[in-house]
Amino acid sequence: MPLHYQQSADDYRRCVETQSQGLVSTSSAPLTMLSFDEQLVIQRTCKINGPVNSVDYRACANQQVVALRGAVTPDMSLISSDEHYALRVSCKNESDKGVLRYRQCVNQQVAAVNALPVPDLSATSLEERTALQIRCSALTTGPANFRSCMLKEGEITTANIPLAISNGDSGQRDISDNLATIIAATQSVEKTAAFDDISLSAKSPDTSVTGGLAERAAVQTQAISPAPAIAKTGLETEAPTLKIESASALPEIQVATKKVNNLTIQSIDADEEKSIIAAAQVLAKSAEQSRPKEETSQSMAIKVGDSPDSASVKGDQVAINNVRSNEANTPETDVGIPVLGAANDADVTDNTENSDPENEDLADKPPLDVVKDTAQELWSQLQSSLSGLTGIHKIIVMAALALPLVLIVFWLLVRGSSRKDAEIKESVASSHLADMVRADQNSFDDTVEGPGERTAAHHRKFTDQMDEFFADDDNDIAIAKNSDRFNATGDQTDNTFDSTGDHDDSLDASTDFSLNASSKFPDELSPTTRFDDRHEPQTAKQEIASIHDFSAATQRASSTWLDNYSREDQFSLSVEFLIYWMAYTDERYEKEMKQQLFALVDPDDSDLVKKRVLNQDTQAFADTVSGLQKNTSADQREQILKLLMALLVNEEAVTPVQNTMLRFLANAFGLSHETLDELFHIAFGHELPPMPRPDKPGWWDNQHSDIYKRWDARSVAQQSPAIQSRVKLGLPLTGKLNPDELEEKYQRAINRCELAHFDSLTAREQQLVEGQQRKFEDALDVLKEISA
Amino acid sequence: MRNYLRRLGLPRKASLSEIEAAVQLTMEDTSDFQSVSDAEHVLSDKVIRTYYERTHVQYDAIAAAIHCLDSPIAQDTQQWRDRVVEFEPLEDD
Repeated sequence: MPLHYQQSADDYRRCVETQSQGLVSTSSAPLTMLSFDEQLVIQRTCKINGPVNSVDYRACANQQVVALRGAVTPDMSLISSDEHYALRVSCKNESDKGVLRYRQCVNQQVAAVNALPVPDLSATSLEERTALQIRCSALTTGPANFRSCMLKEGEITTANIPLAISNGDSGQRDISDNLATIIAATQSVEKTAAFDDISLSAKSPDTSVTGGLAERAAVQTQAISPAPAIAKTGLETEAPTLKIESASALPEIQVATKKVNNLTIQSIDADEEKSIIAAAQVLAKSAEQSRPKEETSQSMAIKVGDSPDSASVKGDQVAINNVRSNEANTPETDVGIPVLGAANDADVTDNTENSDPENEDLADKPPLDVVKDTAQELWSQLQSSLSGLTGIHKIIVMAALALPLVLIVFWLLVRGSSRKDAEIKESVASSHLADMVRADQNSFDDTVEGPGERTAAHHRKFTDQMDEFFADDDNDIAIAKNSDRFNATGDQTDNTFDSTGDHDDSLDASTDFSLNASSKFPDELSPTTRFDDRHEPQTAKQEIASIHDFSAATQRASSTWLDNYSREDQFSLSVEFLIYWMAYTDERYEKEMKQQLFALVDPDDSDLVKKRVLNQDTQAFADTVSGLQKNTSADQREQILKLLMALLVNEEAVTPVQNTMLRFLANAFGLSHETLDELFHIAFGHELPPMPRPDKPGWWDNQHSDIYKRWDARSVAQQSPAIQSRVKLGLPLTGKLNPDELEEKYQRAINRCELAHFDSLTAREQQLVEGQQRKFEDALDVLKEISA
Repeated sequence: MRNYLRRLGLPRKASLSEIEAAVQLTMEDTSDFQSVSDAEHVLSDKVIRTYYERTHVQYDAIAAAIHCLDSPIAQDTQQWRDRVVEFEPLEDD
């Protein structure tokens, strides 16, 4: 536009009319009607056609919107935020293929999710739910899988196991496989075989699991107590019976096993049934991890109350039947275990047929048998003692006896849980949810629409650190050290600042040196300050096996350092990598900075880029160039070259590193060296020097002595502001400045940083050139002030 | 560009004495005295060596990224494959 304006008013008018017509014809795309995700997909798809709001971009956007006609709008109303996130991640690959493909993917995923029931986690605590979400997020991809996982895991986690309880009136209901774990838990304690599936039948139709915490704790005590009794039954018993008997001995619940045990629980009313079922649930929960692998097909019958229903045992099922109390199996020895919190006491009784101590000569028995017999004797004595107790006394004693077991089980549970948590934490490192924690910064939505806080902070830091490329910080320590280095260089050759004598004297007498180092560039920070002054949140990206897609084009057989980043971040980090590569290989950094960088415990993305560069990671360089080749437009690649020149190259001072790298990148980005020469000439007003050959002494003979001074950025940084400004603008290092020449070179430097040259890059890169522009302005001010 | 360090069998951070010894040793077994002399000249001068080594890094990187020139969008108007031949990774690297 400015070009037309300069040509003539007619040209300008025609240009405006053309552009306006283009906008009118293409701006009707009802983008706002689309979801945010779809708008974003369109933006990403069409960005390659030109800058946002350009005619080509709008045409592309319009085309994308038109393509959506007839495509069903996804209904996300029944999808949770976690599922929504999983959906977006799952369809992200499709987003590269246009908005229609993205919507089709979304619809497909939504349909798959809606085909599944919504998990009911109302009975789980927030902590449990979060752990569940994390686990499912780590283990699955896609929203449907996520929901399936939530359903499956939720059944295990929640205390409200969807028990299928059959009773006399309503018939039999299947219970979930979780109840098998009840048996597994019991068997885990008693070290006997496990059970498979169980079905329950109960008397009361209203039998349900209340599952309150107090009740759970109470029944847990009860449920664990039978363990020693069961242990004594032994496999040799054909049909040992373990019975839980209430004080009134009216209803009873019998648990029968095919192979090992019959567990009979006598209960006085439905409340105890609830307790028993709750106990089963608690056991199911606690025994989930301890379920033996070698399970045998067994059945269990629990008889409750006076229901005429009989046990329904089929295959791997267990039935709870309501029976009359007088039909209960009568154990030969009862051990009363109180049902804490239940309406009535219930005794857990085991079959003592095998537990009665026999009168054997202990001396003739193996030690193990002696111990066993002693234990049995003690157990018998305990039983007889307990039989003398009644009511509350029995409850207290039994509770005291059960307490150690409860504590042990609790400890085992906690330990198992901790281990599981650790595993989850590990997996979370690569989970989707981990990324969701900072989805505002990391999701592909926000990286495009606007950087999050972390990104913004990172941008600020990166912009600040760009200063070091020009080595014009005023850190005193750095100055001292670099002065030494500068002098050392001077020892090698006369082509140094020091070798020319006092640089102040080398300048025109009219030059004002009143400025001191501390007043140079107030916006610049020392490297130390930069590294110590960190406010942005640290990222764990490098540790996270990212869910982000890297477009198939970029992915090679082996992974690259960019794989862990979103596509938008890949672009910015790739550009950043090239900037640092050109800067650092010219040693535009302080040793202190390098030491601090490598000492960082939790480096952020920018630090990682710098570390790769300082490690001279040539493979990372190759990956970077390759990624940019495949994921950028020709315009963007050319602008990256212009960016490198604007930020790093000073007029009359292109270093061998810069020259070599610019030439290679130009070729890799599709530009011939002739085209690069043209770009360079426009930018700097002189030809790009021929391919540097620092391996040839003859090439060195042709270098002007002045050039070494300009090349050494760190040494330049130790010079006066006037010298720095002269170097920055490519002006002669000595002699009186020609105002016209100053203005011309300044204008050229400013033009290099013209934002219009970088309109295909991101705001981040544009900020960098704006900062560079300010440096040139400062340089002009310095030189004008001195010359005045 | 010539990879003097590789030609002389020297590490990146070779000292001056190591360079001189390697040059002497190589001189005995080569007829390409000019090349060895150039190597000595470049590697012995601190400033020249500094810039040589910096450029060396670029050639290492270009050699690693030389496959990028196989891209349909790329050009090779500077004959990079020939330039980096001495910087290609060795088998035992």
